[in-house]
Amino acid sequence: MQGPSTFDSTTKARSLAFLFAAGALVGLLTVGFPHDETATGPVLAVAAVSLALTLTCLRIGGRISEAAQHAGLAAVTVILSLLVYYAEQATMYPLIYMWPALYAFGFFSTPAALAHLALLGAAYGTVLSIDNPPNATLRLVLVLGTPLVIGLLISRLLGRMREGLRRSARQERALRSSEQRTRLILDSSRDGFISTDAQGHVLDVNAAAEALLGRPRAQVLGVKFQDLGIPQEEHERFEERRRALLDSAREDGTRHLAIRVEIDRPDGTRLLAETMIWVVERDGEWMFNARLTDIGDRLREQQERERLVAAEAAREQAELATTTIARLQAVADAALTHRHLDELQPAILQRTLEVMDAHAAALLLRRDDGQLSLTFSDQASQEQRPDHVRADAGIAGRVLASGEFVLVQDPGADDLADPSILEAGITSILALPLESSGKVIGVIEIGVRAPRRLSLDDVDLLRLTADRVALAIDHARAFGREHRIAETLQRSLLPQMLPAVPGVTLGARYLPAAAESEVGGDWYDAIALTGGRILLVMGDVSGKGLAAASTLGALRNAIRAYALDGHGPAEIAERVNRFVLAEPARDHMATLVLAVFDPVSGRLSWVNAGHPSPLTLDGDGAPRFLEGARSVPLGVLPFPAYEEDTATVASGGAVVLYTDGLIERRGEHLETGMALLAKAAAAGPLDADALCDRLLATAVPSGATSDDVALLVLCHVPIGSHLELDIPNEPSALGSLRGLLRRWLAQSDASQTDVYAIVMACSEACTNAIEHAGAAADETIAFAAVLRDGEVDITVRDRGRWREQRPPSDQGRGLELIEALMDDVSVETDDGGTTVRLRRRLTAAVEA
Amino acid sequence: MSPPPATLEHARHGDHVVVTLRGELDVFNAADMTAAIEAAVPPDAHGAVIDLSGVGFLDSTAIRKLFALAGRLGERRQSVHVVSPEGSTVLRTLELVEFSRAAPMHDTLEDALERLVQKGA
Repeated sequence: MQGPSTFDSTTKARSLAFLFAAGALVGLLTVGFPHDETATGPVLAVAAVSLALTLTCLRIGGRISEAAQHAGLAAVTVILSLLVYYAEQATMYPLIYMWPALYAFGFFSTPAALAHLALLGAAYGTVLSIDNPPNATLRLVLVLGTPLVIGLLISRLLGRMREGLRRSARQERALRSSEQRTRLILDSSRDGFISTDAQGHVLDVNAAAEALLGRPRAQVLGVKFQDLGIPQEEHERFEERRRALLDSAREDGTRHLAIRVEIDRPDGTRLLAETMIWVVERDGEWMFNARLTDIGDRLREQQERERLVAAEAAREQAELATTTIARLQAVADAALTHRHLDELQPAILQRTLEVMDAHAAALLLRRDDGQLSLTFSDQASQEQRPDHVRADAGIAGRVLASGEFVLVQDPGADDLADPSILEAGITSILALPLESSGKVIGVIEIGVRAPRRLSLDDVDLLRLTADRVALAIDHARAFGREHRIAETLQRSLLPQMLPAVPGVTLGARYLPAAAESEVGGDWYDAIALTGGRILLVMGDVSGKGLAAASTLGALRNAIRAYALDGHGPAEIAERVNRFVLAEPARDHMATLVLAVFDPVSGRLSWVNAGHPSPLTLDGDGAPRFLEGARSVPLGVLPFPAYEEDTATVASGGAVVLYTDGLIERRGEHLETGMALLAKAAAAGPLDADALCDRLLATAVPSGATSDDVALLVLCHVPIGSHLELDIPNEPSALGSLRGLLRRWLAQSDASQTDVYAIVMACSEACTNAIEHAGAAADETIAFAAVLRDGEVDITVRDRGRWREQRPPSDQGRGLELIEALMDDVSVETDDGGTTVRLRRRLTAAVEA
Repeated sequence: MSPPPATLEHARHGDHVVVTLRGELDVFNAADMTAAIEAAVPPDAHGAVIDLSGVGFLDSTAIRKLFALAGRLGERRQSVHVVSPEGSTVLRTLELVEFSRAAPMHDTLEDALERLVQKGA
């Protein structure tokens, strides 16, 4: 248990000495103030012994042991008992027993103290039993009970006191270890700590300060701070500031000072330190504490950090700029993928939303009627919006009037040409003029919903966007114009009407590519030549658009001119090749098939300048591609050899010319397309229009092509028991008529006389029809011949009215000739025209 | 093979011009051809021999033009002789319209030239 160690031995010995001294004093006082029964002699002896023991205890002092203490206290008990016995002070004297009792409880543990109390009781009991005074038992109880109660209280108080002392000892230890920790912290800190007295003499430094100063602790203590390496010229200033700090601390309590000091170390290096100095008052003394932070490293670190932060910021900025530029570019690029204004506008708005990160966008473009067409980014609700608005109202009106941007927060319905924008929750609107070639062509508006607000910061980016939007719209409009011109030009270059040539029927189709793409350079032509022949042209100028269309036009006219000059296919090809080569500015090339067909002989002669091979069908519909006469495209070589090839197209057969759009399909070989074409051609009736429709339906089922498709079909009239011809209202056609008629008659065993008569009569009848057809010059003459039961029956029908009277001097006598040559002639005229019917029985048998 | 467009050649044989036609003559080319024949006969020539041996077809319009041509040359005191071989379709047509009333007909060019020489002599 926690023992008397709380008190040191000296205190214990002195207390014991005090008890003995008190005993001696009591003895002397008893002798000094004796009463009747006092035995002076023994009392003096006891007092002397007690005094001696007092001196002994004082001499032993701090070296007294616990056993000696117990012995001393027991001696005190004995001395006091002797004094009580000899002094005979009956009532109050025994109270001196309190002294050893208190000592026992004060310096010994409670059991030991009780043991001494028992010793006291025994001693006093002995005294009482010897004297046998009255009421001895009560006196014993009082003498022992009183010290017992008081002693226990004291013991308790002392216990408390000891506990308090122990606690404070613990706290002291904790404080000591805390100090050590603080010291440790200070010493392990990278910052240097220095404390000085009021005059600046160093009192203490930590390890870091030693390192920073470059001096060991021993060289630093007691030195004035400014002598630790602060340059001489700085001393005065430093001293001033130190004093000023001290003054201000005394006056208004300001206790901090942050300065930057340079300190030259003994090794010649220099320390740049940020120094925080604060002044503290301890026990009325002022002292300074300083913290030194080496900012050489920190500066470098900070610079490095700033550099990294700046680099990161620059990178982010660059990325942001890149994204923005890419999005801006996307606005401009919209014109590349969407060439038509109608498709371009929604695309532009979508991209504007992305660039501006806006919730709504609108394009308002000036129209010819002075209004503004309105396109809104939200296409879903487009139907409920007006498609145009007034140019002098709303935000757009203000933009157009001022030519400047307009920024509106919380717009009212009056601000808006289209109030439905409010329903979309748009609360902040920015509008900018769209300018093209210095003219304002419209307005672009963007809007955002709360809590976002558009601000002046958004103007620049929207202006960049608007520039590109205007450019894209310009492109689209220019493209639209060119597209229309090119389309018109190309259409005008295709024959309005195919020529009527006896013995053939012609059909043609031109399918422009789907709206997205440009007009191509496909074209076809059919030109009636002398002698009833016909020139078929199928070509494809490389390139697209206006340039291709105009080259196409030049080529077409050149071919026509050369053809009418009487040149054959090869000659024409060689000449137009020079023509294409002579167009230096246009880097154009053209593929071309030129084919001359003679309906009477059925002979086809052609050249092929790099074009897909023509397809022919014989009378039974069997297909064959004409692979011959192949050569290079026009515009490639200066002297290409174009050589004609010939083939016979049977009566009832056909020739099909086409451009690659008809056979080219994505992801398929050309052969596949050609095979499909041949199959489709062979699969139905040989009528020019029907054949065209069939081929298109097979090759372009959807009706929309990615490339232009041109198709030209010639059907050779079938020559059987019937011969049906459409004869153009031109005298030049009569030669073909006679030729075809002779061919037809040749297969019907007609004699030379029959042939002569019939050919003559038909020619005359058709001549009359031509001459008399009158205004209906573009109508054809329907010629039909049939051989029935040895009789040829011919009908010639025109849409005109034969002249009633014949010139009297007419020595040609057409009708008379007819009448002379034929068995039966009838002329019927009605409102629809005139029909001449001629019949002649063949005289073959007679002639033979 | 279709008939080629009609062609015309002419050559001087003494006092006469021989005009050789080939192809077919109809309403399409008759006027041009007869004008060309007329142009081929200079004022100093005694006449023209029109050789139709190479002509495969002659229609009523061509005949009318030939009648007219013969008339005009006759007014200029220039004779017209026509060569058309026996059996040809052209001769058949010319006979139908009794062209011999407008101009003497000959079977061959040699016959025609011989006749003219005899006549001139």
